Amino acid sequence: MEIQPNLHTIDWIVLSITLIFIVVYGTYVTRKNTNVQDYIKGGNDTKWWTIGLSVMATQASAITFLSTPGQAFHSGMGFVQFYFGLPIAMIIICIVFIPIYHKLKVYTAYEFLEGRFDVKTRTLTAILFLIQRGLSAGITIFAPAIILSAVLGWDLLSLNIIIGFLVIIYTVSGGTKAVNVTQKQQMIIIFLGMFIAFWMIVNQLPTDITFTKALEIAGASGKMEILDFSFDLNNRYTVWSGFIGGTFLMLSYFGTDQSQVQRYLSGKSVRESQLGMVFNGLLKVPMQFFILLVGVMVFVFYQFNASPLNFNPKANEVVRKSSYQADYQKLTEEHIVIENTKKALLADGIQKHEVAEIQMLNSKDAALKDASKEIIDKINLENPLEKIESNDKDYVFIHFILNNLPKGLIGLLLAVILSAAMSSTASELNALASTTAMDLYKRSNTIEKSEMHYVKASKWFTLLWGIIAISVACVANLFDNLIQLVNIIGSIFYGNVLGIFLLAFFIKYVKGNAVFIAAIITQILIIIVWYLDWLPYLWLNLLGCILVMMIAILLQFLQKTTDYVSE
Amino acid sequence: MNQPKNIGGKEYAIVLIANLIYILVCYFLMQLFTI
Repeated sequence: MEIQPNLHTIDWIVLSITLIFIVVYGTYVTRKNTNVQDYIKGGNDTKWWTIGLSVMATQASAITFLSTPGQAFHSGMGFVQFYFGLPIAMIIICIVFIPIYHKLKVYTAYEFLEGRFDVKTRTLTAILFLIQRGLSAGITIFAPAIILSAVLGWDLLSLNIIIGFLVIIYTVSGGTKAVNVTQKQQMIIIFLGMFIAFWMIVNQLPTDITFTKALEIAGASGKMEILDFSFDLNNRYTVWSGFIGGTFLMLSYFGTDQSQVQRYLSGKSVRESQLGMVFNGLLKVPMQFFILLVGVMVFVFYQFNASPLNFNPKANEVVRKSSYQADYQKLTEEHIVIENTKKALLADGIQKHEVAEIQMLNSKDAALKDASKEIIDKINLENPLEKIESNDKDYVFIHFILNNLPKGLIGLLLAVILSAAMSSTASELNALASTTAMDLYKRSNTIEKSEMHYVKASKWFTLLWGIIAISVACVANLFDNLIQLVNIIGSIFYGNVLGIFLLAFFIKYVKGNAVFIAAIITQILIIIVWYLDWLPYLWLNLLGCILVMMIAILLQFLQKTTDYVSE
Repeated sequence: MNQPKNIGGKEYAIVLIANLIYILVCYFLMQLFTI
């Protein structure tokens, strides 16, 4: 695929109007914030469906819509298992977390920890959140920016700044209410865009290929292996890692990450907040399933249409200019032969006796793709300053959009991707600012200040975190798969923080000092385990959570024993 | 009529049953289309 610097005017109009409308509307309807309650908790008048959509929009970033279909294109539908723990986590949060947060009328999740333990534990968890979420906010902007810049030839730096700046406008101005209001519209755009895209893909399949035949073709190529019941720790996505690791990850994300907690703290009542989470628990798995199915249909589409050896246009461009050009050309020619053979075989769907041949052709094609990646990696070694992503997962769906959708729809799909980036970033900036304002700034202020003072401070902190996120985005380097990068950062910190919260909720015996020391020891151990690659990253949550709880209980026991002996 | 403060077991049961159905659908799709 060539880099496509020129979008059609209609696409520019659709894209610009959608994004500008969201920013202007969000800023206008939420311009009056007179107190902290309004700015940080959205005036506590949010209805359940707004909470539900807001929670979903926060979690679904641009990475979700770019990378997930690519994941299904290459590895099939198995990624859906990652979300199996989410409904269980939603129920635990509804029963345990929400009633307590509402009863104590906290502004942030970490505020609750001061009442239960002490100020140092509150500050530690707030800081762990700020580090992790501050980095993630940068990646949330950077991830779509690097892909769109590679595909459309847009300037990466400018794109980072534009996405960040648009979010800053309404998040600084309207706080939580602006985030909630805009996320509702962004989710409507996202759903609309994805449904139309799915419909277009299925419609562009050859007339003989019905939806069922398309699924049979996908199945013969191993894309419909949705569930994996094996206990192999090396398999990243299995039913068990989804249920156990996923429950812990989702529990920590939705229960203790302020960017999510803030969404349901804005609820009109405990009931509205709970219904919002239940709504998320009902829709999340089908939504992810649908996005993966879009990727599978893109795979079937490319069984009948020419596809590049590597979907990253920058990679193709660099190879063409390198000394490996001839080798790469040879691989491309072999790839075209395989494509044509498959196309002829699959013209009327797949028959049982053709499965073995298709599988053989698929594995040959996979070998060619691996060989092309090796060439790109060799070029990267020779030119380490301008590394090119050899893994093309994130480029598959955007390649399809730009080359096969009609004018106007391309603009809408780009609006989907940028809306998703903006909705996640808005929640992140909003939460980073609230945590900085309430857990660090207000808590350390000894002189009483007015409500307006803290509203202004929160606005300044939102702006500051926006600038930090843009700066992180501008210096970030792409590695492996983006969706996993964000999850890995989460897994390193989340388990520990979740363990602290579980101790707070369920184990009254443990007190502040024991928890604080246990949290620091656990964080060091988890970073070592991750660095030495002893466990797949999804399991780090579980390990961090168990470690901090066990160490804290042990320390509390030792402290009690020492006190008893010294008495 | 005043609504209860918290949602009850019915809502949680709906979430669990719905997700069980999703997983069963995944299982049957897999059986049907994996050759």
